[in-house]
Amino acid sequence: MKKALLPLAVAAVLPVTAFAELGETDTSFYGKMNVTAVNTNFDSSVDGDNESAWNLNSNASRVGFKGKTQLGENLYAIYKAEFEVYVDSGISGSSSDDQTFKQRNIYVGLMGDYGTIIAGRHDSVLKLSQAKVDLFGDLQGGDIKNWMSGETRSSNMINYTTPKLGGFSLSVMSVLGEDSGDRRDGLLDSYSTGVSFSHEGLYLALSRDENVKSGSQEKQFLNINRFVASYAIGDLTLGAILQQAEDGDNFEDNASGSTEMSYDEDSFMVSAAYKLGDFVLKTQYGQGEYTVEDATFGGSLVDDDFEREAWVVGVDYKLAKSTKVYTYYSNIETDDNLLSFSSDSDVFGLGMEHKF
Amino acid sequence: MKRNFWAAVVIACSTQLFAGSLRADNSTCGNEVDMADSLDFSKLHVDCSEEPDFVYDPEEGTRFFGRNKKAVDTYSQKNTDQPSGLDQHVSRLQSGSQGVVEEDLSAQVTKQASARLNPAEQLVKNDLAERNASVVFNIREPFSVTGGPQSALNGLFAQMVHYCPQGWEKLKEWSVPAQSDYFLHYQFQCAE
Repeated sequence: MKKALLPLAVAAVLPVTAFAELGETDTSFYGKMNVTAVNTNFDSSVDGDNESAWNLNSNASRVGFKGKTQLGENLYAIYKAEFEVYVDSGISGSSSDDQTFKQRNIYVGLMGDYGTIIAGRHDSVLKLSQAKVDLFGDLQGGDIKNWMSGETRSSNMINYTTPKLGGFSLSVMSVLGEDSGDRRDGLLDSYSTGVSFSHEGLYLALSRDENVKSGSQEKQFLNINRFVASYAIGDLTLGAILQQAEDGDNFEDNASGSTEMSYDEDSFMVSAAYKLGDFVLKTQYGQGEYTVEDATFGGSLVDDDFEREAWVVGVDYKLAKSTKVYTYYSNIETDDNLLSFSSDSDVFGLGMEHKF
Repeated sequence: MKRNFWAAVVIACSTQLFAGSLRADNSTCGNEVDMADSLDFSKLHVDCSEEPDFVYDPEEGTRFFGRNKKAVDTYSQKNTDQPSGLDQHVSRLQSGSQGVVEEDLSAQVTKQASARLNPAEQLVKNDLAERNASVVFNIREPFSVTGGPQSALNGLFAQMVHYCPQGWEKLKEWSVPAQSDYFLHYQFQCAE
């Protein structure tokens, strides 16, 4: 009995997994759930009394989908849509108008040998340049946004990123101004740019925000320079961020109207992580010095020089490649006179993260 | 003071950059959710792209991977009348040739079942199993209404053993008239 069959060689030319072919659009779902029970101790900025509270936090939990269509040899249309979900309460705040799904990074673009160009809403180049040096990102009392400006997600952005060449990559993100009365009417009136280099365990990045509305600390139009370095030596990973920020061209747009307004920030952080079997021991320290003149800061009109200092320690325990439990403790001290900030606050957290 | 600071940063960077070789970094792939927090779009979308959850094909509609992959029609290839054998399969695999052959698999499967494979044959078998893991095949065998489907079942079984030496899952079965007889079709996926 003769049987018509493909030879093994035909099977050999098949991809191990039959991915999308030319013209087809593939889509993948991904995300993570990260939730923490935290106990916060702080000195009230109103009456100085010590207060304590337990909360359940959802830490940038998200679902997303992304995909591509191959348009030609090494030419793809790509897209991504990512939404934050709130594991703790189901909505982004306490009002019924708050969102169940809050937009994070969303874009469509083209990717080819020449690099990648995307348009939409996305984290700034400066924000992403920190890579994973911030070991307690998204955690209450741990994230560098507690003492550093520039943790920004910009709407109406167009970003171009070069292919990685010799470990180098350059990104330029133009942020278009669409707010009423916004004077950012040029293509590069507001932009975020940076160059990074990675080679084996070494990562270096230099980035700059020019007149970008900051998403953390001083939430106004700032010019920021940031330098990031990290190096992995065996199971030990060391990291550092140095940053300098000052008021940008549009700084006064959202301030009090005074002609003497200014903002100046010098901040830094260092971090260390050590992998010990399924455990990861982590610590980081950060500090910021600020000079604010007649500007709104933390919801108050401020004319002050002050400092802020933070340190955090924590331990992760890996249950699986995609699942971990963790605990951390942070302390933040500040000598500002803002009602919105306590002079001394401690946070203890116990949480779990599951990626999929 | 600030100017000195940034000058120091630039000098430190330059020293680090040119101290080592500048070949591209081949960092490993991570979780998609982590890779999504990056400007390395090539890594997220192509270099480290895992099997997608579904694919939209403008001609065929949406295919959900894992249960509805695009199948390989083994019988729609050209040159389906060239006799061959397992030895030819092995040599073609080893040489990377891409012809299409015809062979008596039933006899070979019986022979294989009764004979212990030598290490080279076992290696080829394992290699085949790895290459075909998760691939979906369409196969077919003729049968007559009077003779019944038994002969077709034997032939289909032989083909599945051949393509999926580590086992398989039958996904679909259907028949198509062919002149006065029928073809019995199987769609199956090799075990991963």
